[in-house]
Amino acid sequence: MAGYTGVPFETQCTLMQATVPLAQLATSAAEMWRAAKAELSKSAGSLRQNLTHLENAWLDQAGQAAQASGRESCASIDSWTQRIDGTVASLTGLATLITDTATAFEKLEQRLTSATNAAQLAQLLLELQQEGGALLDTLARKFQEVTGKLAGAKGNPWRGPGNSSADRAPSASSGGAGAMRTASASTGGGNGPSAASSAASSAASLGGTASAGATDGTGSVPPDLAGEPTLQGLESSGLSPQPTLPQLPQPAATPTSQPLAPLISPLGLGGGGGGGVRPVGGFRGGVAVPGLRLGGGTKSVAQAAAPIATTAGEGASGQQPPDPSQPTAAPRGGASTGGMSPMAPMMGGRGSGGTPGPGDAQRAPSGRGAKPSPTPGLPASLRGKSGERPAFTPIARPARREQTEDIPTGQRLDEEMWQVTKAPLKKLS
Amino acid sequence: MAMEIDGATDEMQKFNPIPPASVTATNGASAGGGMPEGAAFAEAEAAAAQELAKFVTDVRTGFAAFANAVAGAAAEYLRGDATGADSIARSAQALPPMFQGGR
Repeated sequence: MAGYTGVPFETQCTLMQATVPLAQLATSAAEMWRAAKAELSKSAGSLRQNLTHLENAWLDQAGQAAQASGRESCASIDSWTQRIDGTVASLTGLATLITDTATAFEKLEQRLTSATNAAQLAQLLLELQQEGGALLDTLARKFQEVTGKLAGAKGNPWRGPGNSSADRAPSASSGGAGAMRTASASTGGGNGPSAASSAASSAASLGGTASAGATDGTGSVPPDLAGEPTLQGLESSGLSPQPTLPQLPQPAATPTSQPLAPLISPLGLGGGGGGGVRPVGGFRGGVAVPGLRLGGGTKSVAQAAAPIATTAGEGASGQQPPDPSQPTAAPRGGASTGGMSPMAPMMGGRGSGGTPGPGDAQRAPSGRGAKPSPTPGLPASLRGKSGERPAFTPIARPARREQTEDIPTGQRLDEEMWQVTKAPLKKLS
Repeated sequence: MAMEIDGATDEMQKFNPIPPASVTATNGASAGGGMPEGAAFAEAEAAAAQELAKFVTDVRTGFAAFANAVAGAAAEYLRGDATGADSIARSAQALPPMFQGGR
């Protein structure tokens, strides 16, 4: 730091006069920081209060993610407000010191009038230079202190919803807070009317998302979903989380048990479109409807849904659902649902096609439902003659090759040149 | 194990934290001709005020996004409720009478 005691008193006075306006700047800045702290503290308190109310009202995984994200947001706000008090104190002290120093310089200048001759004036100037220099040195140190304080006044960046950087880099400790998370849902339990909601909802931008699916933004599946086959399939397929329900198929059922699928399939409850009876691949678990309980699940109906189950089936196979009119497609799709019974390959292969669609309820089931699709999934030994037929009867290549016999040009393929027993070759020789 | 959905949508829809008021940076007083340390302070103050204003803006945006996300989640829950109920009701209508009398 430059020592101001070596600066002439007149120059010191000029510097001081130009520096005085900074007192107003420091005062305004202190007021701004104080007001900002009040606003931020109020907002943090409001956020905490809202989160507290939500803590006992939103208990699922998405709610917990929202709580975690909210806590991070509060922490980021606190990181600013905790520093502001020190900043305000420094700014206020600086403003006071600038004003006091300016007042001291006025008094120093008044002493000049006491000099009666040039010698006294020269001596007095040297004294005032030392005193004024000391004052400016003190003020300079205060400036430097406050400058350093302002450099450290910045708190942590905002973390929480609305911040793309926070969304991209979730903290490991929060288990995904700040990250996009989806939490899916087919639920059981009848917790009143609200529990009737079975479709998970999306809260994508907040750190916690509840939607059909069960993946978070990093593609990992929460541990408690490890046993859910439909959700595992979604992970392995690399599908991005579905943010909203409207993009998903119709809700189907809770994946609690298997027996319902073979029961409903012949009844023609399944898919829409395409005509004919479509197996209900989406009904993997028990479905309880008013007046009817199927599948043996203890969950109430209203909890149905988990539409992601069908999406997972599609994603695992990486293909569109096979057309039910083509029996050969069913066994291929079945690979996406390990553990399915070999007697019901269409159920697994469908994956996503079994959910009821618009108009399905109005379409009467055809007979007992077994005839339209004669032998899907049956072993070849049980199919009879139909099992021996090729999938595609027209064979193009042999027909085209036979036509070459009638072409008189004499152009032959190499392999045909070796077929010496054929009539066309004899003619050529 | 299927995930559980447990959210009181009426409470979720009330989620509305109060955002902070915008921060107006101080008018930068001229420190020209004054002490060099004063000029450095003025620059640091302007930069810090800018950072503060940006953070407050981020908080305001974040609060709005937070409230929208929670409200959106509540709406999704309600929509899933209705969609699931409709689907199940249609399925129930398609069942033969022998299955409509309970298990």
